[in-house]
Amino acid sequence: VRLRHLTVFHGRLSPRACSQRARHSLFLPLVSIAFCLWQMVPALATDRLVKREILALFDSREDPQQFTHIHKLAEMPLNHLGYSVVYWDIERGLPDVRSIERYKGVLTWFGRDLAKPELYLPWAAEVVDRGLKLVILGQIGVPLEPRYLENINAILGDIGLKHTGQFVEVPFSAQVIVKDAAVMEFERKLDPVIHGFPLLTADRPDLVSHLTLASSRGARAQSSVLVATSPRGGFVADDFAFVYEAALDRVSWIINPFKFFQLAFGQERTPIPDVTTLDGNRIYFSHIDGDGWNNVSQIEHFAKAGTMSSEVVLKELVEPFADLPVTVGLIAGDVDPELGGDPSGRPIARRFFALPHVEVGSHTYTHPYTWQYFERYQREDENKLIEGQQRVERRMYDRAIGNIMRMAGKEKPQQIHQRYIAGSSELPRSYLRRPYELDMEVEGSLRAAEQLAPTGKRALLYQWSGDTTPYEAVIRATREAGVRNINGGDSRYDMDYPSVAYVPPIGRSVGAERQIYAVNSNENTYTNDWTGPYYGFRKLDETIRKTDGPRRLKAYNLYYHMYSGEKPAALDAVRQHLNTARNGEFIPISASHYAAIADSFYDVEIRQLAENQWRVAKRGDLQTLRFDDAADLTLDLSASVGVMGERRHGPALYLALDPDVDEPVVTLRPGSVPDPLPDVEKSGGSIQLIASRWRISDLVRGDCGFKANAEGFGPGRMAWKGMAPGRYTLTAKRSGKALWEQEVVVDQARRMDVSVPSDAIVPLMLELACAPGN
Amino acid sequence: MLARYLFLAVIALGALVAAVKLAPGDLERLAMLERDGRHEQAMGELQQLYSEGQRGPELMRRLFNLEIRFGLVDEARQVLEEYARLRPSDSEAQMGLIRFYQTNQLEEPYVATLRAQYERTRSRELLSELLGFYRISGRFRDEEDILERTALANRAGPAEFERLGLLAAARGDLQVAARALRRADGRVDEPSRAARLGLFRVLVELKELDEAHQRCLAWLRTWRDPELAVELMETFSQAGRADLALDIGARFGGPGNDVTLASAEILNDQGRHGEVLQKLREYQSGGLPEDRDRAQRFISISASSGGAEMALRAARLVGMRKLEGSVILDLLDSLQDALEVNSTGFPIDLLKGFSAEIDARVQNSIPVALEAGDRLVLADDMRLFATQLAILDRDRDLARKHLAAIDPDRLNTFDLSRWTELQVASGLRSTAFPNVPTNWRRRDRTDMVSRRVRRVERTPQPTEVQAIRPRQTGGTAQPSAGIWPPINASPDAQNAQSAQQDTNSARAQRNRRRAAALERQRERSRQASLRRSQQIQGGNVAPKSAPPPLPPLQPQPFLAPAIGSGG
Repeated sequence: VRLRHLTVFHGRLSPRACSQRARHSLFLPLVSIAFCLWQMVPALATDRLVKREILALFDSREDPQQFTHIHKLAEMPLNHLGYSVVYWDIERGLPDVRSIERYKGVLTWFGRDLAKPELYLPWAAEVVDRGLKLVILGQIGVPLEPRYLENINAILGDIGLKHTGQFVEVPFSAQVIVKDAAVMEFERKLDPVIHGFPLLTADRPDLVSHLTLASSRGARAQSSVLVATSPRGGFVADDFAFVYEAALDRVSWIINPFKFFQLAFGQERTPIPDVTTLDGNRIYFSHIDGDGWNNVSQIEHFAKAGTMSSEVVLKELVEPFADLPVTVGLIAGDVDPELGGDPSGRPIARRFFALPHVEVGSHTYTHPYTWQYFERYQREDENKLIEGQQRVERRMYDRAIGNIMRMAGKEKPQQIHQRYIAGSSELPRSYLRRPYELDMEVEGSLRAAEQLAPTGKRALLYQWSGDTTPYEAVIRATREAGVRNINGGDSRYDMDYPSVAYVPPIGRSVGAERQIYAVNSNENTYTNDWTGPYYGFRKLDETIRKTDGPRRLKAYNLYYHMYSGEKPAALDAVRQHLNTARNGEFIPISASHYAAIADSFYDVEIRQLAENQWRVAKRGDLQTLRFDDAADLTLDLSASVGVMGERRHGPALYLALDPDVDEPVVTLRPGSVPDPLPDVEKSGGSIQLIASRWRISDLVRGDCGFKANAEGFGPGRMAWKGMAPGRYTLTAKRSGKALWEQEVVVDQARRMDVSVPSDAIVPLMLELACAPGN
Repeated sequence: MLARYLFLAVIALGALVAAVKLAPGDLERLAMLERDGRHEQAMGELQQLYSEGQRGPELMRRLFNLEIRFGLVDEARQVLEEYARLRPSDSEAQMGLIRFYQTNQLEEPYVATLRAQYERTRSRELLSELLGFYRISGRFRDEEDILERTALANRAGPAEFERLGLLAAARGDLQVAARALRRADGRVDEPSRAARLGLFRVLVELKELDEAHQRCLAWLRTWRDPELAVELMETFSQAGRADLALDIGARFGGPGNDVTLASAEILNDQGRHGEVLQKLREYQSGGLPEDRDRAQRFISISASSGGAEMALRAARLVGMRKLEGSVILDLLDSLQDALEVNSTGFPIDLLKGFSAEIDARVQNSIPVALEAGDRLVLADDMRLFATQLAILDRDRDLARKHLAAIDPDRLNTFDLSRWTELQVASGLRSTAFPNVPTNWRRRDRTDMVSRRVRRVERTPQPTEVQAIRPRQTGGTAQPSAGIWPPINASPDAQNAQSAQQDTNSARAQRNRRRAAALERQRERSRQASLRRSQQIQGGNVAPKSAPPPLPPLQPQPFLAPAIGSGG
């Protein structure tokens, strides 16, 4: 069966498959060999690397990278379309034009004119001359002066537009000449009051206008193409991409960014590396930041016993949900008495980490609030800040309380406001006794967490704290420590944040490093910075629902803090989500696994071998490819290698790759229903995984069934298809020993749904075989 | 004794009554439970009291808070809704309900309650929130409706009137728009420029031109904004009331003021050249414009209204390098006219060195220089004129260069005779071309307008400069004309225009530039290889053949080429 992996070579039949076919051929062997060569040669010629990178130019005089429109608004849709965004600060100069051919295109979204337009213009002209797509949103970055106009039009002309250099005022209402419903008014209708717009005209026949407005009616009307795409890129005039509503401090898209970028950067069908789905199911993962570890719970029956919030979380949310993995990020300072922490939190950490479904994480050592502060850290400055805080500390209040207590003959209560423990983000970090050290913050905190874990259980995730904007060196330190990183992004998509604009990209590039964003926001934003109402986190389900359809934008990430153990409503809210995850169609994985998948997204290399065939390399931990608008296509299993199965979600087709195959080949063919292979006995060759709650790997299809490795949390609910109808035996084995066995039935639709009750945190093997007599 | 017992009994009874009176009530007892951390018990008892029909405000508040504490959202909602329903005028209760709906993301109840509360209170904060919600949801009709209601209740400020007016105008209801925008305009805290312009245009559309004019005058008196004045003047002019526009110009113009320049433009459009020159003199009495855009407008207007001298002075002040090609062509046209007539007493001294400046402008723009956004390419007739200027400057080389750039096969008979005579004047030829009949060489006198028309009608040459002359830069408004076909133009007409645009498109021009550059490069390579081969053959580079000695340059009177001189 392994040989089946080799039957396709560059989109056509491999030499081995060819020779096998030649043996059964009616033709002479020589003719067969010629046929094989004919099959192979053109395939080699069409091998082409799919460009997945977009070069984003930004002007750091306007905003730092993470606050640019491109990062805040455009990058997520681009990620969804399979593109990774490479940022370039135009203040640093311009990238060498010879090095840009690896990019699919260039994206700009300037808010004002560049400092040196005379340098930018020829560079941009060269870019378009080299055939890169150019997509301009907002301002062009160059003053609309006659001296620049020709150069501006040299760039816009490639897209298919011509700028007249003029701005048209709209006396009353703009007349809509063209409004493409597929691209326009995605979240927000066009405001009827439009004061004016720049005057651009179409200059190429293949330019598609998505929005053309005329300044008025009648003969004096001047019309302008304001949103357009062409085979060479796209353009959206300033004020027509999105709207900022100042009264509510909210933005919403006017254009459909998914459709617009798809049209602007090219519509050719390519597989999209997908970070939301694994083995056909939406990914679920959970992680807890350690904040509030030592807080005494206010939940009635725990409060009486003085139970810490962390212990409440352990007892109520972690131990009862052994089928759902969770990463616990300990703040090492919280349990380090030298820094002011409480060592009584250590046993709780040990209990957490001893659980097999708990992954060891670190939520830093001293809990920095403002990471950028530590990039150029000076202890003297920090000391001054500490001193400044001490002066405003409630000393008089503390003294008064102390005196009253002393007079009453009672002990003075423990001083909450200790000198070197920050109670809020007014100081740069929580634990300030020792000077900040990068090694201590990363490596030290990871080792501190590991010391509380069973021997050999490594910390695998670093969870950013505070403002979650780490600098390059600290991200590098996590990578060098061999762990993944996560947090930041604060994804929301609900009535309060009513736009997909609040769904962040997969991560943030920081110099040569990358920060992976958490997939969902945590309870802090849902509870008004933990001021209540504390059940607010329930509303996470709205974001989960809206990011699953009509297009699946994100996985399901249950991200919260230990302080959720303080309040009954907060605890219930988390429990509600755990129950949703337990009962829903998800594949639970660890948070570090998700971070690894997300990191892998940026490195995936895809080569097109033939019209509907691609080879995928360097995919790391990413095991899902997606095709959008693929209702008319289906997986061609016979011409694919290392593809375990397909599943549809809306118009998208998700393909599950076999992690044990280094470079899978994906082939699609027209049709919506997969056909069994005609030349394979019985049905084994057409077996496909539909969805699984466990991770499946090393799938080997046999004549009557399959073998595969499986690993996961909780019961192994899974669905397969393609077997011949009848009775089969499904066995779960570990080290050759059967753990569980059951007769299963493949129905007339050739589908099998089964739930394996074994524990698969330690991998096991699944074996499906024809039942005797079948 | 009895009295003693009686006293004790009274005391005891009093104590009992006091005890009963002082014993904590239900709510106090429940508060004590809460203080003791027994929230669940407290909530249970409160729910019991509530189900028994008790609706005291304190009870309901406590119950609501406890239910929220335990995340019993539906129960809490029921309590709060009832609480608010029983107290419609209790602002705190209504706001609590609004925030509850908002927090729980219950959109429709949130908006309905918010609107109802706004209708009751007319609070500006609530109005802002409501309008923000309507806008972000794209419910512009609801927005307009609430603005109308606000206006009816006399609670609208300028911002609300302004938005209402603009929304109504966008809907085409100009009467409502005018009413709202008039009210916005009447406020002490002035409305935005957009609102005033909106009102102005509504009034113009409603043919209320005199009111528009009066309002304009009032605005301009307070704002003193020449840019706005110019815009208003242009609108009046377009509405066929140039008189009102010129009135504004007369009131708010002055030396160096854009309003004066705009007046000159309007007058120029009306063909009142004498008054144009008067306006331009007024304008330049504060000094010639040094700003590029204004200078260009000044030059264009003065050139087209016969003020060649004024135009030339301005052009030489600002510098040829900064002027657009079309403006220079206007200037050259005007100069040609002025010099042909010569009776105008044009000071020839002003032209000293001008030919070299023209040449420099042409030369600077040949490479794709960044500073030269548009290129100056001289058509043949302008080349001939430039040759004349060079001869005037006694620059024989330049004259010869211009002449060399002209392909005589392209020239009409008249220009061919000019070319021949200029060749003679520049020493390239000893005698004039003999075969041109004299009557062919006679040039009809043409007035300036027809000359300009001729130049415009001339078949555009591939590399000819495009006429781009925005009057303002950046995002300022400027009406334009003629570039885009009318909306109702036939598809054929549009296609024809787009085909024409295609040949002149930036891409086409760039391709042509590239082709020319490639050709030059090829030529250089060819010559280099030729030199190399010569070096190989002869061991030395062959000396360039010296140009033939030129005859002494004959200064020519600066007139049209002497007609019949070669006969």
